[in-house]
Amino acid sequence: MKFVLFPLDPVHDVALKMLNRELLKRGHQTVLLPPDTKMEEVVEICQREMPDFIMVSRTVGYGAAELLARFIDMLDAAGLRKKCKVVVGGKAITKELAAELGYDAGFGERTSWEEVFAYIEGGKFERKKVAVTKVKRDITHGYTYEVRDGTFKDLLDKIADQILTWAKDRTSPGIERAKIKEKILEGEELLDDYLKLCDELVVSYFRKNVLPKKVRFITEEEKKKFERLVREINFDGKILRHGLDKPLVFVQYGTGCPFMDAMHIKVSEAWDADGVLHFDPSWGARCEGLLEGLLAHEEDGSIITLENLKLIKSALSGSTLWCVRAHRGLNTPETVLLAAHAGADLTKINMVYGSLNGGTDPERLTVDGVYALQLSAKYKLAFDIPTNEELGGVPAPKAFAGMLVVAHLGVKLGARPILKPLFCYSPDVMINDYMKDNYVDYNAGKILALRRIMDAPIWPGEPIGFMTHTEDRVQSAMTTALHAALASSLELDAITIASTDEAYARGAITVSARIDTLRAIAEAFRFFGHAKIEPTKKAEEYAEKMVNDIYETLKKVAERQDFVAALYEGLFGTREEGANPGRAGRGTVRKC
Amino acid sequence: MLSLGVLGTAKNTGKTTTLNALLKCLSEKLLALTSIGFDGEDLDHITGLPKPKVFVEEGSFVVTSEEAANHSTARLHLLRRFDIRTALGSICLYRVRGSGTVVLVGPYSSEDLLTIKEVLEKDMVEVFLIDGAINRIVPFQHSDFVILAVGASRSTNLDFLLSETRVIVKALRLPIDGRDRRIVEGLVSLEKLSSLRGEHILVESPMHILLTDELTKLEQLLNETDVAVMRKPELLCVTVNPCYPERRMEGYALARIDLSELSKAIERELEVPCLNVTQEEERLCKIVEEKIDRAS
Repeated sequence: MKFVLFPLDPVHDVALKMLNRELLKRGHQTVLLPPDTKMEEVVEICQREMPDFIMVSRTVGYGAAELLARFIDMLDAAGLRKKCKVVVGGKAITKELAAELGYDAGFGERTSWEEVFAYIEGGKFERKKVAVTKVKRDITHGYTYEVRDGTFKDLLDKIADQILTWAKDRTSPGIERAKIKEKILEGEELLDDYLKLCDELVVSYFRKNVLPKKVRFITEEEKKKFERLVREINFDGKILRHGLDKPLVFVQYGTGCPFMDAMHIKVSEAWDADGVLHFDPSWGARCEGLLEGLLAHEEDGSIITLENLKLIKSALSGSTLWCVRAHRGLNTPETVLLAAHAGADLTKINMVYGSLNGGTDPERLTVDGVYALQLSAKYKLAFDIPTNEELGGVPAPKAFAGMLVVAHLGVKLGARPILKPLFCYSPDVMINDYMKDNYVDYNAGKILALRRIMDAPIWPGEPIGFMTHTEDRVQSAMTTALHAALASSLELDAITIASTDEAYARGAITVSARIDTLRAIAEAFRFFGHAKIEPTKKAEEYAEKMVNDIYETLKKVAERQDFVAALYEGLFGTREEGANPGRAGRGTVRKC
Repeated sequence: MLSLGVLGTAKNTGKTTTLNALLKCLSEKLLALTSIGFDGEDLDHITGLPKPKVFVEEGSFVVTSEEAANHSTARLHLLRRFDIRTALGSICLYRVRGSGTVVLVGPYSSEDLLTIKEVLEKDMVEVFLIDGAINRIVPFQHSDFVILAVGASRSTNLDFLLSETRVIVKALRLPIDGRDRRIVEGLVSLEKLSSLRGEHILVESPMHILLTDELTKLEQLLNETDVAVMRKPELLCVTVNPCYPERRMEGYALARIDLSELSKAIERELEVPCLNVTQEEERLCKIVEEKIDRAS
């Protein structure tokens, strides 16, 4: 068949040149006109050439419609309109617009050649359903958790064994509640026993129907609306990682309102995020016992109840990884239990961070943590170990020593840990000027150090670039994207990203700010692909120092022969450094 | 059957608003209705601003595409399918069985419009209303009457609008006269017309010479050449639309300017009725009814 290709544009003709290439490949005859050819001339050429198709390319803005329509009128006046098919292509062209302009067909952005040729050659074209079919990934797949250095292994074994021996004959209200809850979930009626172990806030809720402040029930009508909303959401998935296998990208939610959470999750999924993390209210960590039912919270943090978690779960795509954090409070074991029952893939446990920066008593969180790790093994929930005490001022090596202890302990209990160093501009970094020249070396040094010690998945968090963000949305998206590129360059397994207003939102974060960062990192992944970021030799120096400092910390903790005492006494970070052993749940651990 | 088209000089000059007024004016007649583009969509395909709906009464005929018919609230009964394909399905003839709104996607070319006209003649239709698209004019060469819609969306420069209208009116007033003339078929570009300067020529229709942006030059050439046409519609009146989409930082917003001076100037200088449909619907009806009654 014969084609006249006409760029109705003063300069742009790339699309038509590409179309020309494809047409020639398929054996068609073409006349490719240069941009800025006068329409009268084109009509004359078409009268001479008598093509089967006239392909017009134009980006539509206001005013372009008149030009495109004028061209059809000219063909009509010249008696050509019924002799050739006239097709328009360009950004923002839809078939409705093609109909309005008087063209036989119109093709817009993201049109495949197949679609165009199906039209031209009369074949059938079925628009493919969302081409991206995502599968849920296992972050821990392929890791052996082998401790790579014999001296480290000895120390970690010694500490972990001491913890296990210590915890063996100890229990807490948190553990007992988890045991009761497990039976309740199996159908036993043990609410009375459960409430005996709860704080007044929880007891009043169950006994007197008193809701905590700023908490309300989600109505049945709201729930129906939610279900409809989620069911009706439909999107063409975007591609975030540009062919890169890793890192998986996680976003955090926890607006207090499960509806808003669900919408943030769906938007993130639409922009190809791989996973989400549930954040609960801070008071949830300090209160013995968990509530029940569908509950909305007027402030930050979405309340952990089995019903709320199941509601969120119903909004998740099948491929989305879901982490419910349990790491820091008085309900750590029970949260792992509920997360497992609601269908979560991951949880978050770190008794060192939880007791030094999360407000929970070290003794209590150690015994609860051990039990939570057992549950995470039992229910096959991988767990990540955040080291956010670094943000409080604890030097990274001390935070890492704690993380490695918890990881090793988890492995001993049959669970699958994920290391979570921070990519951040922390107080310790500022004081010591580790990032004077760049943000790359110290973060890279952390990864080199951890990899030297243990073969485990690494997922920088939470979120990456912490303390490098400002209120400027462009800057914020940019710094997240660059940290994401660094994680990709280091071949890390996953990252957690902030929205551009996360650090400065005066209220709930906005969905457009969420998209900012997802778009920015997509661009960073596109830019770097498999190309690497090259750290300076400083990274190696930092790594070496970090390995030594981690070793020193572990050595002291092992020599102390009492993990809980080590926490109280500042071996994982002193009060001066910003580590403050918590008080919540103090004195509640008892022998059994 | 008489056919009446509404043509505009640009998008959003008020064609559909005029069409809706005509539907009311002629509600006593047996009507058929189509568009040479796309009508009745909720939002403009380019500006995203709301568009007027097209409301049809029971008993009328509607010519639209299958896909568009599905988006109409009027109950439409399929009468026949034409062998005319659009980007939104084949064109069909429907009878309205229950009043409501319609989405119109009609024939794109003069030839197809002529085919449809011939079919409708047999169906006892009294008036065939044809809505224009964007700035398209050529299909109206086969129409008996036209109304010209001009508006601020074309330009906010009143002098420009007046001179453009003047040239269009001038072209529409070219005589139908086949004697002793050189026949020039097809599109008559300015270049072609200037090469024929001083001759006595016969072109197909006024539409065949109007497809240029250089209307001043065209006007001049028309003064210097003796041009007649084979066929043409009669211009009933001009309508003005003071509203236009104004480009803003993000998207468009509706703005308006005062066009009353333009209306007066068109009536005074071009001797053709000119009105704002939203304010002078009765006057429009009077003009149209008189013409239609006299012609039939």
